[in-house]
Amino acid sequence: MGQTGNKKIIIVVALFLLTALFVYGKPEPKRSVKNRSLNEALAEVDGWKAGPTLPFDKVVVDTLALDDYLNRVYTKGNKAVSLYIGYYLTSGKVGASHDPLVCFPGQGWDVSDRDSGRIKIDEGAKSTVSYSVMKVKRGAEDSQVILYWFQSYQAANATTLLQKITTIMQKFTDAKEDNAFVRLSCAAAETSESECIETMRDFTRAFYPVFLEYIRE
Amino acid sequence: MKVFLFIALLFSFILVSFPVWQDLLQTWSHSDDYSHGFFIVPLVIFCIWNKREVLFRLPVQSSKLGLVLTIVSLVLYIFAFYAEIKTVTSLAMVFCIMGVVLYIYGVAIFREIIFILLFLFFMIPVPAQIYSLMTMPLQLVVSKISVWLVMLLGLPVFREGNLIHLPDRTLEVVQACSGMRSLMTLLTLSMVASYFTLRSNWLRIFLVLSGVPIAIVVNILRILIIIVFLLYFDFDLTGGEFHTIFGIVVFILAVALVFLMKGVFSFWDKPEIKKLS
Repeated sequence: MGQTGNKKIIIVVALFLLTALFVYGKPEPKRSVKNRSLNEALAEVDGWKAGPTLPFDKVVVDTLALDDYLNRVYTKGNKAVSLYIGYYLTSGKVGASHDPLVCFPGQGWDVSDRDSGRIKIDEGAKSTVSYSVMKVKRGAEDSQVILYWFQSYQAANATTLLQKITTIMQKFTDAKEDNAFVRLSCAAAETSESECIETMRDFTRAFYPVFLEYIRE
Repeated sequence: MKVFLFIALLFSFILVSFPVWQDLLQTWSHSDDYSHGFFIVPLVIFCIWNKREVLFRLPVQSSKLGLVLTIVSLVLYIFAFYAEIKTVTSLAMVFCIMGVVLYIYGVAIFREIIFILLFLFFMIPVPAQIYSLMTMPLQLVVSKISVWLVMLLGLPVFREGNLIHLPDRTLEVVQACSGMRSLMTLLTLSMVASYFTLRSNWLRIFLVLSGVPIAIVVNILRILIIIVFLLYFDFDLTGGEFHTIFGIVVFILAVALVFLMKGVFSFWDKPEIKKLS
């Protein structure tokens, strides 16, 4: 191989050592420390009555690798919204939740009317929630509208891909690593799809500022 | 001097890629789907060692493309490391290895061992979300076709997604039964089998890809047999030792089908070049 070959090996070794400086010089990530649980933070949502928490089995919590979660029904008059939040404190878990489109068909649900939208939040710090929505039906009577998004610190993303991109971009800012999967559902058996979506949008405007405050803690 | 430089190269590579190896070893130890990962690096080393006589005869002509690939891979590695995207760090490490081979040894040697280096991708776990995206439709395909075949036999069955309702019980085709677990191992085995038994790189790729429909077919057969045994013989193959033994038998069938495909592809393979004495 000769001297030219030796020179190339030295160049590669130098590149490796330079890269190692970056790898071992990486600063520690900013991890949140929460003084209260999600359930405590969202025990009161303006205009809505919080129902009791609906706990998951330990197997489910372990499978989803949840750091915290909320599973409750909120009601306002004759309107009801089921809220599930799977909360993660580290970006390493950002892949723990997956798109409902992946698992609903397997559980026997027919998925239709997929769409996306945005909700402007005017209360508190102004923000926008980008969400995905779909209608799911199983059998003759079980019909729901699901509205969901993927939270990446203070950003609400309609898809997992956007969540990943946002998470990566936030790595290079002062953002913390909190992320979550947020899913709202509304029974559509006796209500129209558009009414369901409007109810969930209304609920989001009420609960999101409280949720955002919790994320920033 | 050269030996010293190669030792320095090896140690600097291990130093920079140590976090990747740490994660990979942890995954291989705790995952049933990727326990084959332990065998990949020894296999690659063995295959390259096996080819040493051929490699020594090839010219060493460094390629600047290799340096570009090495640098791009390392930049990607740093980016993915900071963003904590483990899959991309692993991929970047493999591309870096390819870049280094290309840079130091050149195109001729790289071309000779490229298929062996491709083995390295099989030690990298598929990301959980992509894994779910691949697994769920596979589960559904296995469920749909199995139930259709059961209905063709005139047996009473009703399907809701992955739930198969029989007269007195309900089965669920879960991730482990979807074929995904056997698929990853089967693809790796297909890759190894194709390397040792076929000479054309294209035929080797086709053989590897044939692992996908084979895995689907054998798992449809498995679900079908489970349902038939439940309905006709009231014998439960869904749990316990019988489920494990049955799964192994089905996997052996899949491997046999891979070798059958290899036999078919052999008709179009390059002729063996015999050494003149």
